[in-house]
Parts: sequence; C-alpha cells; structure tokens
Amino acid sequence: MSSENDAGGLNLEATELTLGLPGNSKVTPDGGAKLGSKRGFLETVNLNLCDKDCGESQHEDAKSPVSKAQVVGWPPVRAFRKNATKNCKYVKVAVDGAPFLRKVDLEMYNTYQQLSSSLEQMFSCFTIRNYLNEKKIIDQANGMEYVAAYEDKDGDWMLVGDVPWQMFVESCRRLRLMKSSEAIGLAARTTPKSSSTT
Amino acid sequence: MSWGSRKTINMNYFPDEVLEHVFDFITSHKDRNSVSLVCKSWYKIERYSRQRVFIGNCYSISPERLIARFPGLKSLTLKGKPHFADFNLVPYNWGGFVDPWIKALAESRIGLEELKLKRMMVSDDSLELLSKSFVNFKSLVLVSCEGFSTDGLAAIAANCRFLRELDLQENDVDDHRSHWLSCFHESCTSLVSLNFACLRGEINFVALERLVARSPNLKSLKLNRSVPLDTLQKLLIQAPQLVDLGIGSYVHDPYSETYEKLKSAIQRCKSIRSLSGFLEVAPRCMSAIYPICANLTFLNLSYALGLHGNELTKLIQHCRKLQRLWILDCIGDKGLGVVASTCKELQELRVFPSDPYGAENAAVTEEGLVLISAGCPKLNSLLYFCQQMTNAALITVAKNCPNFIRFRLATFDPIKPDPVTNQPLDEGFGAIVQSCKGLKRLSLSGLLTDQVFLYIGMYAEQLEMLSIAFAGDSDKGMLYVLNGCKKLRKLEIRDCPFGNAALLEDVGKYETMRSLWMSSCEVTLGGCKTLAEKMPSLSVEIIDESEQMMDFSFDDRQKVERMYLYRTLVGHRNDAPDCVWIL
Repeated sequence: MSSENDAGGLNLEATELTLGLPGNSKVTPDGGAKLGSKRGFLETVNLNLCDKDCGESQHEDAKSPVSKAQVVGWPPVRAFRKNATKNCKYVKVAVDGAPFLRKVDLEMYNTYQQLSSSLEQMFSCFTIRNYLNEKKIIDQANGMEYVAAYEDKDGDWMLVGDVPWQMFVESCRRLRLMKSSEAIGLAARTTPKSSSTT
Repeated sequence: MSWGSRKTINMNYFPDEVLEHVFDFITSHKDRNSVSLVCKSWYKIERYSRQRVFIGNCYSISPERLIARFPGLKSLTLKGKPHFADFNLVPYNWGGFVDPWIKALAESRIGLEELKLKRMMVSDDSLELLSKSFVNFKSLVLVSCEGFSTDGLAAIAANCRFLRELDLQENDVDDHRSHWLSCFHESCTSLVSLNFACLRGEINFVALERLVARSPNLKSLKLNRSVPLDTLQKLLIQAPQLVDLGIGSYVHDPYSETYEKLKSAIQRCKSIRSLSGFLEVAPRCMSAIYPICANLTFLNLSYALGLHGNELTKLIQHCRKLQRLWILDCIGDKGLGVVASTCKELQELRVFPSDPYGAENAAVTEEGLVLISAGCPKLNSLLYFCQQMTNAALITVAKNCPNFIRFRLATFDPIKPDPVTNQPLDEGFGAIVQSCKGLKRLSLSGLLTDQVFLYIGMYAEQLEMLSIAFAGDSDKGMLYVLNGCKKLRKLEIRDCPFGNAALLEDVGKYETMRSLWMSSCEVTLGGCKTLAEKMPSLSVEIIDESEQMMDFSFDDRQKVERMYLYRTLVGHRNDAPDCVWIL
C-alpha cells in the first residue's frame, strides 16, 4: 500500500494524529493553528493505521503501516454510497458500556492488528496489548477484559481473529467489544460451522 | 397582485368556503405559509384546509403543536439529522427519532396518508405502529434513514391495505430475512411505486413476481442487487407500463435464451423515462437497453461500477433526450465530452467518485466540466467530484451556464489551488455567483480565501444553502456571508478559521435561518454560551465524544469540536445523548 507521504506530499508522519475527530484535545498537531491562520488541513488528516511504532519499526514482518491518509468526511460522499462503491466497507462498532456507536471502514485496514489499534484509539478508555493476534482488550481503569466479536453474514456472533483477514472483512456485518464474561460460548470458527448457535 | 390595495375587493366579504376553494390552488409550502400570515381569518381558513406540511428540522416544532394547528393533515415530511451526518460527522445516536411523531399522530384523529422522512432514526416498532394506525395510509418514503429492519417493512406490507408507494432511498436497513415481500396481501393491488434498491439481502422472487402481476398501476419499480436477470425479464413482461425502472443485477450470458427474452420484454416497455441501478453489471451487454434510451429523461448510473469506457459512452450516445444524468467519474473528461455533444437537454449532472477516497487516475478534471457547459446550456444543477479545478474553467462555465440553481463542487484535495496558476479559486467561484443570479445552493472546494466570501456576500442574493470546508482566512469571511446573503437558510462550515467574533456579530441572523453547523472552527465554548444566552429561541448544541463530555471538565476558552444550532419554537429537546450538550 502507498507510503506515508500520500495526499499531495504532506508530511503526515510529523503529525501522527489519531482517529479522533478534529478538535479532540488529545490531538497535538505539529503546526498548531496560529492566531488568524487557517485551521490546518494537516490537523484533520486522519492516520487510521499508524500505530505508535510504525515510524521506527525494526520488525521485518511488522505490517506495512499506512494505506491511505484520510480526512474525516472528505470527499463528502454519503456513507451509503461509499459502501456501495469498491474498497469500502463500513460496519458499526458497539462497545458494552459505551454510550455511543461508531462506524469503521474495514477496507482501511490490512490486518487484525491495525484494526485493534484503531479501535483502541476510538474507544479511548481501553488499551490494547501490542501483540499480534492478541484478541483481548483490557480496560486500564477497572481491569475488565473485553473481547472483540463480530456478526457474520449468517447472523451468528463469532470471535474476531480466527479466520483469514480477507474472509473476515468479507463476512463481517458489525463489531462488538463485549465483556469477556459474556463472550463465553461464542464459537471460534475453525472448520465448517455447526448449525447450532448460542 | 397587491393584497392591501384599496382598489381590490375586500376578500373577506366572501364566505370561508370560497376562500378555502381559492387556497386549494395554492400548493407550495412557501405560498401557503405566506397566506397564513395575512390576517387571522386567513390563518384560520388556511390551517383547517392544509393537508401537506413540510418540517425541515424535526426539533423546530413538536408533534403536538403540529396536530393542534393542522387537524386536516394528510401528508407530512420530516427531516432529522443535519446534512453533515451524511459524512460521518454526527454521532450515530445524535437524534432525529421519528417514534414520538408517529405515537402522537397515532393517538390523534389525524388521517395520515403520506409520510416522508429524511435522515431520521426509524424503529421497527414505529413502522409497525404506523402501519396499524392509519387506515388510508398510502405512501412511505424513507431517505437516508436507519434503525429499522426488514421486519418493519413486513409490518408495512402486511397492514397498509391501500399502499401506493414504498420508496426506500439509500437507507441502512438491517436484513432479518423477513420475507417482507410475501407480506403484501393478495388483495393489495394499489401499488404505484416500489423501491427497495438499497436492501442488501435476498428477497422472495416469486412473491415479487406475483406482486407486480397484480399491480396494474405500478409505474416505478427499483430492484435490489439480489434480483437476477431472468426475474427482471418476467417482471417487465408483467409491467410494460413502467415509467421508472431500477435494475438490480444485470449479469447474463448474451447468448442465452433469457437474454433474448429480456430484449423483447424491454422493447415492449415504451413508457420508461427513468433508468437506474445496474448494481451488478456484466460488460458488453448493454445493447438490450438501447431501445429505451431514446426516451429517457433521467439516467442514474452512479452505482453501476461495472460499466465503463466504450460501453458507457455508447449507451449515453443513445440518450438524446436526457435531462438528468448521474454518473461515476470513470466516464472521464472525454466521456463528458460525449455527454456534451449528445445530451442537449441536460439540466442536472452529478459526477460521483468511483473510488470513495478519490483516486487520482480515475477522476475527471475541469476540462470535462467546461465541455459540458459548452454543450449543455440548460444546465442548472451540478454536483461534481473532481481531481482539480481552475479559475479559468469556472469563469467559462459561469459564462456558458448562467442558470445554475445548485452548484456543488468537491475537489479530492480540499485545499487544492488552481493547478495552472497556483492561485486560490476565489475568482472562479466569484464568477459563478455573479453570473448565476438564481443560485440557491452552493458548495465550495479548493484553496479559498476570504475573498470568495466577499463575492458570495455581494452577489449571491438568492442563496439559501452554503457548504464550506477548509476555506477562508479570518472571521471576515463568515461575516461577509452572514451580512450579505439575505435569504440564507442553512449554513454549514467545517475546518475554517471562523471564531467567536464572526459567530456573535449578529445573533439575530440565526433566527432567520433554519440552522448553522460549525465543526473544527475557532469558536469556543464561551462564545457558544454567550450566543445561547442572548438567543433563547435558538437551541445551541455542542457535540463532543471525548472523555471531557463525560466529566464536564470543559473550559470556556476551549474550542468546540462541533456546534449545531437551530431555531426552535419548543425549546430544548429532551432526547439528546450524552455526547450532546445543549447550552
């Protein structure tokens, strides 16, 4: 996928922004808005994929970081239409206990690792252990463990991470971060599914 | 005609029935609103005779007051979320719930027949209540709504015995495999319009065929992706009277019998004027469509990803009577040239990006737009996603097409200057607003300074809706617009350096508008609070999903992430989620 210097040669690495919508106090842009100057386009660039290590990654097999640098909501195309055109797959993400839903575009990511980094940034009270294929998400505040699950095409809830990434993208209809205790009984799909569901 | 002139007969000498009959001929919402303001007696007559009501912001009025004022209400249009919700700038659960409206209407004596909703949250329960509460319910149109599933559609199908119209446009519908199409009664023969193109799931083909077969008045049919070609062919045989057709899947073997049957079925459909869909399309199979192209006035290929190059242009070359064209940018500048030389009656053009994030290779440029403007002088409505734009092109377009009512441009890089001169696009857009005296809606894009807003304030006298992103240098920009555009109703701004000074200069202005949206600008919480204090007739919402909203740890000097304000007659809404703070 393309390099970090996409979107017209902007130095995106320097800004290293999160998924948060512009104005989020966690964002600390490099070229901050000076008095009277235009609110930087740079400040709203949305590096969806860059987890904190990508700039100086020494691991050969670390996933290639950024596929596209995006400005949230630009170009102004309706989500419905984006979904219908290629390379876009918006799914709703719900977190048990959080009062709001978000939508993510699964086509923006290449691996489960990238997805989980992004989810961490979106639902900021959780942190993700930085291991490959780690499926658990820990809430730092209260030590609750969360598990990522998804509803597939057939309406069944499965654990995230058990099928090849592309197959997951293809069949995922929505995501849910649920408390570990509730995830008991979710089938990990290894071989052809049994017809019984939980 | 001057109502107040002493030379005219005093209309109040006529009995109410006569006035009512006169008012029957006044159908536009604006005109009826004006009529109701003339005097008390006209207000009274108008309100009892009003059947159609349009509410542009569902939070500006309550269902109770609507019902109290218009007891004869038959047709209601409601809009919920602000426009920028389309681009993921508004939280999912922000609001716009139709439930309280349907509940209140159901409990009243209103004989609702038509309901049209845009950007609202709709639940299956409310659809079921709707379907059971109004005996004469005829028409349901849902545009960009979500929160419901095919179960809700099943209730509508099952209970609305006289349904004429079920029109689902670009909604996010959960598929529960409800066989909703089979829920239409055998005795339901009244359908005129059925559009389920946005549904993702499978439907029952046999039920669909039988429904179409028993609907002699069916004029508009738009299928979803799951409907294959041989079903399409059967449907067309049953409904040769169709005026508006949306094809689902158009994938077939050109040597098959089905294809032959389709060709002859299409040829019998002599009334089709509007064609859309092609959600799945195999290339090199479009010749079957040519017979209906000659009479088409509306062609929507904006979801037809499989169509490009020669196939696309050859199809368009058959469409000489086209008035509205929605297309993907893979048509290219050359393809737009073909449109320009073929479609002399063209009034509306929309060019959408085929890559949702704007690929550099597939796009159109200013050249395509210039060709269109030269070939299609009747053009009055434009939505154009492009890779780049120049001032020279915009100036030419402005000269060629002075009739624009809607002009919306979006460059993939939102602050891209004129690539030839490296200048901002101020002069180009300035030419547009100066030339197009009837311009009502404008969306800007590209590198823009305060200058463009000076032009807009000066020339855009009829402007009602303005969308601005990543533009301007200072508060002056916003002030030019607020001071100059007297007819402004909706203003939406993102990522511009406009702050409290601009926001607070003329607070009374917002009472003359429907709404103002500002996100990622320089306005602070303190500024918003001041505004809310001064203008109790406005609802000023702060939308913020960060942790600070949970803790209320906000400082007045902090910039607000998103602010949405609107005039309202009923005070603050009580259904806002935690991420919304109403000042």
